[in-house]
Amino acid sequence: MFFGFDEDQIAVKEAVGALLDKRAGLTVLQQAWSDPAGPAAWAVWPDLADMGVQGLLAPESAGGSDLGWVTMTLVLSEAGRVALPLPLAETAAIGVPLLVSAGDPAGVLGSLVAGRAVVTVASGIGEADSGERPRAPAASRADWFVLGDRLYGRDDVVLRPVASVDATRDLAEVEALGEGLVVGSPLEFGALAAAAVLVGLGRALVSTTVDYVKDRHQFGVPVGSFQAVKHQLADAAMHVEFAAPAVWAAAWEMDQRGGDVGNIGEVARSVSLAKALASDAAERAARTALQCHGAMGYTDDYHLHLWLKRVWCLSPAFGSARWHRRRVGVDMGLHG
Amino acid sequence: MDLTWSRADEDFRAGARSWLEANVPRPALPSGDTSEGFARHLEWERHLFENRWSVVSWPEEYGGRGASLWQWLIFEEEYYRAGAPQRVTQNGIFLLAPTVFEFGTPEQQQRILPRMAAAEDLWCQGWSEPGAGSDLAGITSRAEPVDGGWALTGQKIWTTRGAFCTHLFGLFRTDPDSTRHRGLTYFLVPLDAPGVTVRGFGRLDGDEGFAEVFFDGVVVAEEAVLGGVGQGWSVAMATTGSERGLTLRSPGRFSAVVTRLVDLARRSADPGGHPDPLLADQVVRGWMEAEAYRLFTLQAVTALAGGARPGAESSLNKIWWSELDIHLHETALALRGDAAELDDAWMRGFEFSLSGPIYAGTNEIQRNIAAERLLGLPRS
Ligand SMILES: Cc1cc2nc3c(=O)[nH]c(=O)nc-3n(C[C@H](O)[C@H](O)[C@H](O)COP(=O)(O)OP(=O)(O)OC[C@H]3O[C@@H](n4cnc5c(N)ncnc54)[C@H](O)[C@@H]3O)c2cc1C
Repeated sequence: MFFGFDEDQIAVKEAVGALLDKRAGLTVLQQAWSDPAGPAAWAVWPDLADMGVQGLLAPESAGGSDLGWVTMTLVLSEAGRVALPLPLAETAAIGVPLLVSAGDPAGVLGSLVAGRAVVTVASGIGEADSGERPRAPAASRADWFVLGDRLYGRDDVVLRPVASVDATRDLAEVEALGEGLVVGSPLEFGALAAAAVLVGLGRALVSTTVDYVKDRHQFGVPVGSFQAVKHQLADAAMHVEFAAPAVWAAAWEMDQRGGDVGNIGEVARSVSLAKALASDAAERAARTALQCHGAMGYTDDYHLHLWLKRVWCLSPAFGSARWHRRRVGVDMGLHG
Repeated sequence: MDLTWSRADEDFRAGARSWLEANVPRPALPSGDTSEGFARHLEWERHLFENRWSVVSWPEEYGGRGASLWQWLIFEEEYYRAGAPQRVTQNGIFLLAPTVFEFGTPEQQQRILPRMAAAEDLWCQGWSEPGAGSDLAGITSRAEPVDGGWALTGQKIWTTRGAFCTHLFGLFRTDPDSTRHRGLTYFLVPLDAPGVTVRGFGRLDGDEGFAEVFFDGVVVAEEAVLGGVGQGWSVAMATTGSERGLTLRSPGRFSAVVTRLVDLARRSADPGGHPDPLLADQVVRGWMEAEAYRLFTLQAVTALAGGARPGAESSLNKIWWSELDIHLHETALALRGDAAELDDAWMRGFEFSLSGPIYAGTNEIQRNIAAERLLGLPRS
């Protein structure tokens, strides 16, 4: 039993974190808000590929490193920390492993790993109105679209841009024209990847808010000295820190299955655990962050909203907390 | 990362499981917070000791098995899984003992630990006083130097199972001119010493699980001091760290409640054959929070095994398990419908769960600690 990370895993996480801080910092994020498909937002994509990020789950034969899901989720939590406005989870943690297990039917793995092509994915869960079409982020830049268990090329889909609360999402409704290629369901990969990003978002929300309340003075003292503020932040931190190990454990289990989609059902409970805890924790962190910032958090002039809105997008993506609890409940025989 | 158990750990688990299956008393013992029930629990504690299961993580010379922290976790998991009795010796073996191992002289270790393991000496915890609960540094019970030792005067309260125990560990002020955290000393006191009066009283569930302990010039020897005169605060903090952190409430305890809760939910079906979906959701939430606690603990034990010292994260731990326990029991009572009012195991579990956010430092105090020491927020 050893529930920690090895040196290589930590080194990859730190290297990617440093790259993101340098090349995908706040200015880039703000540029992505007004132009999500533009060159500023995407500048870090080839750098990530040079560092091997898109190939973390690809075999060496496809130019990848096969480092696995534990490393992948650590990296995705870094992407969440900076609210990276790019489909890294969709490409590296969903598209790549789906194609690997499907035997790369379209012959695109190499270009994904090299950072020359982009996959996006429609999560497609929990539609209240089943007449709605699936939606996918990064729609203007994606070369490949995963809808249901199939992969479509850009020429085989019709896109209709729709506004997301998070403008960096570059969201569009996607309608498939052809048959596509069967690659398998993105659900388990997508839920685990989103959970990892949510842990990063949640940690960032707690730490930026801690910084803010130490700095902001009212009644002659830092507002962070008030218990009502402290206790909310302690709770938010607790929920995020209790979600994180569930994400790493699900990633470890995924690695034990060798990413084989055929066996993925066995890890479904662990994935649901991770996603439900991470969604709830990140939503709590977002609420707390906003409340503790006061009106400063309630303006799009200030950057906090970028993290809040990303949480609102990813918390329901690939199954909300409630959806995943229900899935486990069905497995336990508690639902019809 | 490797979340599998070693062969040796699996063997240890199998050994614990088969012994517990063959030995756990059936039907369950009466509450250990009454004098009759306490006596039955003592028999059980001595049976555990004779089979070397009372203090698995201690060295063999003191009656343990030298088990690793991992094996201790496994034992706890199996212990609660088997539905074994509450540990009426817990305040000694889980709270005082780690402090004796760390701060005790060899003489104290020899004198105290084997008798504690054997449930010959039964220890209760004497921190709180009528005027000093959360504000522990405000205690006024005092110790004055006398020939060959100290004379203790004052009062402790809320002492768990004080009326049934033989010894008390607690803080007394040895420097009359001191205030707050300074000038305190950690004492180990036999409750049969002249001048000690113990009065048991009822907890919320009506059992005599609490006591007031009065000290009227009680004379104890020099060797009754643990960890040095005037060092009481830092020695006591080691004990409270154990209480909030790992040792008092291991994950296995809650996993076992979850198993019973899932069973209850399956049996609480409506005419359609399934429990109320909102309650089913709460059951799964409980399972998830217990799993999160188990995983958080595996992460913490990995760090401890790598040489880290337990720190302020133990405050988050304490908030988590205490709120989890309430959630599990509230959900169970909701599933029970109007049978919830019955004075049975679920109601008793619920009542006890409500004390979780109060004892071992209230959850408000834990949130202060987490905010100040983990997040670095300014003191008020
Ligand atoms: C089941 C049970 C078993 C116990 N066993 C023992 C035992 O064996 N030995 C022993 O010594 N004691 C024991 N205690 C007592 C326990 O340690 C105290 O109850 C605890 O420290 C709180 O003190 P208090 O009850 O005086 O509450 P108070 O300190 O009076 O607190 C009342 C309320 O005010 C809040 N409050 C107080 N200070 C602050 C602050 N600074 N910031 C925010 N809120 C604050 C508290 O959180 C609480 O909600 C036990 C208690 C229970 C319930």
